[in-house]
Amino acid sequence: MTITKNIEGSKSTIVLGGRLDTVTAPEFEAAVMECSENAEELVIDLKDLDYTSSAGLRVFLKAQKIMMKKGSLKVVNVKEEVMEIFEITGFSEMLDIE
Amino acid sequence: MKITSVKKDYGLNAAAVDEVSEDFQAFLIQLGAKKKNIILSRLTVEEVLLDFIDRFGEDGKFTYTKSKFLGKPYISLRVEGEQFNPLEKGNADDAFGNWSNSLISNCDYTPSYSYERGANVVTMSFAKKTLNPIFKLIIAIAAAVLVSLLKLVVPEDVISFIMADVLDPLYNAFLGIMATVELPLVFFSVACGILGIGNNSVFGKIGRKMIIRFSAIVFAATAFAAAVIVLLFNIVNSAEDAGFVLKGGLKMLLEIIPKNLADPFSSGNAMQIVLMAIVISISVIILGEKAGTISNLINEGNRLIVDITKNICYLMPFFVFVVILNLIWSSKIRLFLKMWVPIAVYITILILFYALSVLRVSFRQKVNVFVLMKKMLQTFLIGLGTASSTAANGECSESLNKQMGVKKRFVDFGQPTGSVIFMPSTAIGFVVCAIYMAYYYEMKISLSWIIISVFVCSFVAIATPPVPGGAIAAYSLIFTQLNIPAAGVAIMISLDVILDFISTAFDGSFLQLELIMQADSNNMLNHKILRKK
Repeated sequence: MTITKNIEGSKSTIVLGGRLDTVTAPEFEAAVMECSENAEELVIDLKDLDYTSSAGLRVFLKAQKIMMKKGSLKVVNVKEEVMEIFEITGFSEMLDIE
Repeated sequence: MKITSVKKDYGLNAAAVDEVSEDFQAFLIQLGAKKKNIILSRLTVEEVLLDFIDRFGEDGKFTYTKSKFLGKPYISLRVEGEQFNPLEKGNADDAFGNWSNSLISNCDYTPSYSYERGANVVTMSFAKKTLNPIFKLIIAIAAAVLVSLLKLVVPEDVISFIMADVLDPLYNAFLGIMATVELPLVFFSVACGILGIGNNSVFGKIGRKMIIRFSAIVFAATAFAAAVIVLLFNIVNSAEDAGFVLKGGLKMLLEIIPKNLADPFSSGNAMQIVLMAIVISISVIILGEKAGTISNLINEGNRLIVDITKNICYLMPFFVFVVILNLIWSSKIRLFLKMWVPIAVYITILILFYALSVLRVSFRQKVNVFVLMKKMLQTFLIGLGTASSTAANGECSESLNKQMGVKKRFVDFGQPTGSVIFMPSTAIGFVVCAIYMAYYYEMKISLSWIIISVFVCSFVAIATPPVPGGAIAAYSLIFTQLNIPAAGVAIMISLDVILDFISTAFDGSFLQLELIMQADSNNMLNHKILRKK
């Protein structure tokens, strides 16, 4: 899995690629914690993400809970395969997906 | 299909979760599972393993087994250690309970948990595709009609011998078996339901309100049906003044209290069973963790009794064959043929109640009546064509979300909950048939008897889970409770094959209408989508 972080003032972006499985989910969690620390807006770009496991979904939920208190979380460029998982699990309604 | 059995030990760690998850996905593809079920099952297995890791730490171990039992493929995850059920989620993530609960409720494969010799075992089995049960029943009826023609060529004394020494004992034996399970079935179903409502992690606040509303509407539907029958037909043959009705009601209330714990089971009193289940489950909720063992016992008892009932009901087509053959040979088929009357009354009442429900939603949500009915039509037709709520569930959920604007989170929670306890059409069917059979057998029908029948039919419709054989248990309980001759049960079992198609179709529509209303009151309804033509 690839993770690219970009922090610009109060806006942070995380770009994910590859497969977000149980082994790689902690890396994503660490990126969320780092990028959300001073952020009012967190954007998670999934343009190259092919799969998310249950552990990955837990991190999305954690990110949503953190950012609800501090500002907003946006999930963008979701591929069809990942969107299907979000829809089946109800995450498509929990997250702000563009 | 050749399945290679696997039994492998792993450390409880992330890499093992991914390896098992990959293998499990390949297994599901091999079984020909639907894509949605593959995603849901795989995530469920991952969630179970993650919960085991959270509980036992990465020092623990688990055993992954993939095999077949009696020709049925299954997988199991086994972790040694103190008792911990990962399928019962603790902390609620939101008002609906934990999100991962929806994985289990939406998946066609339900995992089960057991604690065996110091190990936590989660099993998921995959049933083979079998013939729709309703087709088996239709084949059984057709076979009975064909075999009944033997009466034309076989001597009368042989027919009498078969009836007295074969069919009657078989009928009584099956009824006896059903009587053994029907009362525990109701007891555990009610107790488990109340424990679930009391447990915030399972249902949440919105869930509790939802269940209360579902129950209230089932009562309203049953009372509506009884009122229509009383107003349209002159069936009340036992006059009572207001004081007597009140006295009857009070007597009914007092009779609900059992003499002792065993009495309701020995006398087959369904109302007393329901009361006992309510009292015990509320006490368990109040006692909290102190009564954790009893709570687990009730949940495990419920799983056990539902499984036993399902297994007994594999014999159902054979039982229907026996009942129909006996009815034809004993000339009681005349009563069966007269049953077009309650069927016609049932359909009329259903249409009236359906019209009122549609108008209510149309008026409150400002949506065109025909637009609303068109959106519900597909689910209705699937129910009518298959008599299977399972077959209609997918379309019901999809149309609620995509055409009626109910948010997916709400549908994912409300649809499975409603399909278990919200069956107003079934309750209407119970009360119509109970009143008709009482009329047919020239029983004394008073206003207080009608009121009692409304309560009994509503309770039984809510309390009886929608498992195969549930209808037999329900009719048997209702008839015992209302003192209707037991011979009527045989008629109802045969008739239920037809009623099932109608009630499944209407119950699906009633559920959609009610979920629209409940979604609106919880700000989970997109009116634009609902009103869109």
